[in-house]
Order: sequence, then structure tokens, then C-alpha cells
Amino acid sequence: MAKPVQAPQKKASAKAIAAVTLVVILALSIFGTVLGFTGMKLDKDGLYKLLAWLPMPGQASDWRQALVPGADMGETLELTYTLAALEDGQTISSEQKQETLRTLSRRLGFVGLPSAVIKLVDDKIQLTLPKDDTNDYFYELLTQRGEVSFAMPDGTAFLNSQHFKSANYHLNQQDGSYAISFTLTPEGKKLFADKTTELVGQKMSLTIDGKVIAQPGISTPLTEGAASLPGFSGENAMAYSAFMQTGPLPVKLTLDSSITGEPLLGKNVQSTLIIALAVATLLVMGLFVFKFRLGGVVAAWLLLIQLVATYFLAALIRSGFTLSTLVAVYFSFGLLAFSLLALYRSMSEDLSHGRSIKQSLKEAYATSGKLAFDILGSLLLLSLVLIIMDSQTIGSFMRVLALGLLVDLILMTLGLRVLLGSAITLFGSKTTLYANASEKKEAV
Amino acid sequence: MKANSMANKGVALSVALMVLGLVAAVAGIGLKFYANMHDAIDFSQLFICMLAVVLFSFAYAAVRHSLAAGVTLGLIALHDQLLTLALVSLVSILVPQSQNMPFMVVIAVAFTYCQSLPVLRAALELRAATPLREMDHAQVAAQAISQTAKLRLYGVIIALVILIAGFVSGNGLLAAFLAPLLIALLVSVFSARFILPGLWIIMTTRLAHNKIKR
Repeated sequence: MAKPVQAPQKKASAKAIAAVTLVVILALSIFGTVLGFTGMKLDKDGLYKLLAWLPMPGQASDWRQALVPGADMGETLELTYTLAALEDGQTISSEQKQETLRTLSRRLGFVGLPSAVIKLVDDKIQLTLPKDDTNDYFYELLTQRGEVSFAMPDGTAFLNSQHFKSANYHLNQQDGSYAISFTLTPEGKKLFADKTTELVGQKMSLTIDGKVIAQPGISTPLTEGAASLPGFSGENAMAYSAFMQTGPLPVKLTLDSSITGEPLLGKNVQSTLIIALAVATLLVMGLFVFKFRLGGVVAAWLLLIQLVATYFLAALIRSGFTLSTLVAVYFSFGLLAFSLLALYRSMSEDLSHGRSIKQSLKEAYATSGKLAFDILGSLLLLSLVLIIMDSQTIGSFMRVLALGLLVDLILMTLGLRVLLGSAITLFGSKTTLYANASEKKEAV
Repeated sequence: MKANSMANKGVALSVALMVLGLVAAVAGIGLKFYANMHDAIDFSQLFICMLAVVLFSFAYAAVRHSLAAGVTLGLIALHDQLLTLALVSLVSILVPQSQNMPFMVVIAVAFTYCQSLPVLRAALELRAATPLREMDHAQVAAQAISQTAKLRLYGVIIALVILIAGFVSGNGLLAAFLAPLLIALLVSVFSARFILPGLWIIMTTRLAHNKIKR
């Protein structure tokens, strides 16, 4: 007599657990989404504040502080510069003008401003950069000529820009300052080794355009053809390493005018794109709900979590609101949608053959689930390889994509099992709840 | 033999387009960029990343599935990367490209995987489940194509819905800058349908033949 009493009790407790699981995840999803739109003040907790990170049209939210728009998507600063020859009386050749454009482009790419636009208009250089009042000093630095040299204590230069092979900058975690690291050409390596051997116990000078900016002491000869100089501010370290990496400008630039302009991709591109992408997201979610009913609702829910989490991670690594970030976020969104679709289609096929929903889900993970993991897993590994290999546009795009793919994999392995499993326990395993009639016919 | 002849024709068409794109780029007609954006691109870095994509695709499928699958996926990735770049070079004559072009060409591999991996996996599963006397390689490839057609179509629909959202927003430059993604999508559909089956048959037959010889 005990068995018939225990079975419904077990079922009821399983249903209660499923209901609690779904309610908790739903509450967390709603909380996360609302927080993404509104942000949160954390002053009372001794913290600054959690900025809103989900883009929305209009000015109601401060999400632009978390995802700073680039020159392609946000307000721009149009700086016009007059070119002047290095020596009075000389004329500027067209090759020098082109070299100036090339060097500036490389500098902007190096410091993470690839969305900036540089044009030669009426013999003047027009630079379109993201408008950010805090960057005025930095922009001024970047347009300096940038002739880098190392000099003896008496001021005689022994190493100049042509001796630098590559350079970079990094944060010193201990004191919050930045360090510049550089490598030298074979000729530069020999010169640097000779002079630092000669100057042991003394100081040499690092100069930019003839101005001394640092005087590091030499304790041992530096013979490796590479060195690191600590103690710079972030902006200075970025600009000086950009000078070492790209070489000096062949001309002098003088700021002529500075005006505020519209985004490169159109005046209302932010609002239009946010609305259009929201509509696209809803259409994809609608497709799932139409084709897979309750299963589709779970998929739409996971897709929403994916977007909220990926935007959050993109904001966390300060990738900015640029075309590159948006492509990465929506690529990972599309890949999760495709993976879910592969799994659900396989599940529907099994349901049409009379299998139970739980068996179908298990079987789908064993077949189409493997395909989804093949696609997501291989792309995640590949993006990690490309992050290591490229430090420019490909690498920065892959950083956001890798985070999105990581979210996809977690949602596919854990999120779907928990949500769909709980939904099946709570709402039952009736086939019509998980596939519509046309889908079943298709599968047959 | 139908799949092989389709693959031959497909490869011939692709090679012709690749040559055209390369000639246009070398002649200075193709691979045009907006303003001075080409100066922000390190092309040697782009080619190294494209090579990494091809080698990774080969290694991943070879380790995960088989050597034949590895060679097939590696060659399909190579085809898709090169054809996408060639078509971008040609299309840029009409619509200028941005400094984002390199990552858009490299990420074409995501479309390649979404279109080709389902076919490749289906073919491998069918081959493993069906003896050669019941179904030859060509029949297996044909069935893998038809079995995965709906899934691949839905993949294209999802990608198009998101891409269209981008195309209708902003000014003409946004559409121009997104063009490489649309090209990559079309290229991946083309290679999965017309080149992959024939290539897989050739690789499976050749590598099995070499094994027997040894």
C-alpha cells in the first residue's frame, strides 16, 4: 500500500523543485535585464555605481558610460590640422602627406582607436575621432611629431626612431603606473648595448621631439636589444610606445579647428540600430516560440540571457559601442540560436517517432548537441588562438566573441538542461507542448 | 560522380573569382577602403590569421573526426576565406570597406562551420552506419546534403534577419561595411552545397586507398 502513496509525493516534490528553480531563474533574469537597463547606485556599499550596460535608444539611461560609442557610432570630434615642413622654406611633397596619413592611421590603430577616420582635405589633415572630453590631451599627444631618441648625459643622441623594431605598454599592477617596453633592430641593439655598458652607474635621457621625458638610471648593461621603462601615466605610455612603434611624422602638424560632428555611420545610427537589432532579436525568438512552443519559450529565454550576459562582459572589458562589438555580440547570439535550433529539430524528430520528451532531449544532446559543441567549441578555441596572434582589430573582435561563445557553451550545457528539464517536470511531457503540427510533419 | 563534377565546376568558378579579385587588388582597382582606413590594416597579420583559421580547421576536424574530415574542412575553410576576400576586393570597387574588414573575413569561418560541419558530420555518421555495398560515398554525400538542408536554411535565415537589421540602420557606409559578412554567408552556403560533398568523397576514397596500399 506504501508505493501508490509515495509516488505522487515524489512527483509533487519534483514539481515543487522545478517550480522553485524556474521562478528563481526567472526572477534573476528579470533582475539582470532591468539592472542592465537602469544600472544601480552602490554608494551606500562604499562602491561607485554599477553602470547600465544594455543599449537603449534615447538618453534615459547612462549605458554610454559603460559601452563608450566609437567614432563610427557616437558623436565625433573633427580636428583639422595644417601641415608644415620640418625646416622653414621647404615644400611638402605628396609622398610626405601620404606618409603622414599612414603614420597617423597606424598610431590610432595601435592605441585602440581604429574607428577613427583620417582624410586629406584641401591640403589639410582632417581627423575624425570619438568625442570624449577626457581625451583632448591624448589626441594632442598623438599628433605630435614623435621623434624618439635616447641620449647621453651630455645630451648627445645615440639612438633614434629608426632603431626601434616594436614597442608596447602595460600596466604595473603594484603602483598603477604604466611601463613602456620596446625591442630594437640589430643595429639599435648593438648601439644600446655599447652605450648602456659605457653608462653603467649613470643616467641616460629618453627624449620626444627633443624634450626630455624620462632619465632612467643604468645599473647593468642592457645587451638583449629590449628594455622596459616604468613610471608613465596611461596616456603618455600609449602615445610614446605608439611613436616607437610607428616612427615620427615627416611634417609638423598645427591644430586649425575643432568641431563636433555626427557619427560616421549616420546621424541616428545608435537609435536605429538598437531598435532594428531588438526587432531582429524578437523575430528570432518568435521563430522559436512558433516552432517549438514551450521549448521555444525556453530557447527565447536563453537567448535573452545570452544577450544580457554578453553585453555585460563586453562592457566589463571596455570594448565600447562600436561596429566590431555589435558584430561580435550578435554573432555569438546567432550561433547560440543555430545550436539551439539544431538540438530542437533533432528533438522534434524523435518526438514524432513516439519517443518521450526526456528521451528525445537526451538523444538530441547525443547527436545534434555534439554538432553544436563542435561549432561553439571549435570557434571558442580558434578565437583564443587569434587573440594571442593578433593585437589589432581581429584580436579585439575575438575577445568579445570569445566571451559570447563562452556564455553560449554554458547556456547550452547547463542552462538548457536546467530550464527545459524543469519545464518538462512542471508542465508535463505532452508532445504538442514542444513541437507544432507542421514541425512534426516535417520531421516525419 | 555528380558530386565530383559539381565540385569541379564549383572550384573552377571559385578559382576564376579568386584570380579576378586578386588581379583587381594588385591592379589597384579592387580592395578599396573609405578614407585612409587601409593604413590601419596590417595585411600580413590578416593573412597569418587566415592561415591559422585553415590550419586550426584541419587540426580540429582531423583530431575530432578523421584525417579525411580534417583535410576536407581545412580545404573548405581555405576556399571560403580566399573567395570571401576576393569577392570583398571586387565589391569594394562599388562600396568602400572599413578597417573592420579583416575580422569580418576571418570570422567567415563561423558561417563555414555552421554550413559545412552539419553536412560533414551527417556524412561521417551515415558512412559509419551504412556498409559501402548498400550506399556508396556519393549516395552518402547526397543524403547528408538533403538531411541537413532545413537546418542550414534556418541558419541562413537567422543570419539574414540579423544582417538585414544592420543593413537598414545607419547610412550607406554601414551597409558597405557589413557587406563582407553577407558575402561570407553566401560563400559558405555555396561551398557546403557544391564543393564539400565532392571534396569529401575524393578525400575519403583517396585516404582509404592509401591506407589499403600501405
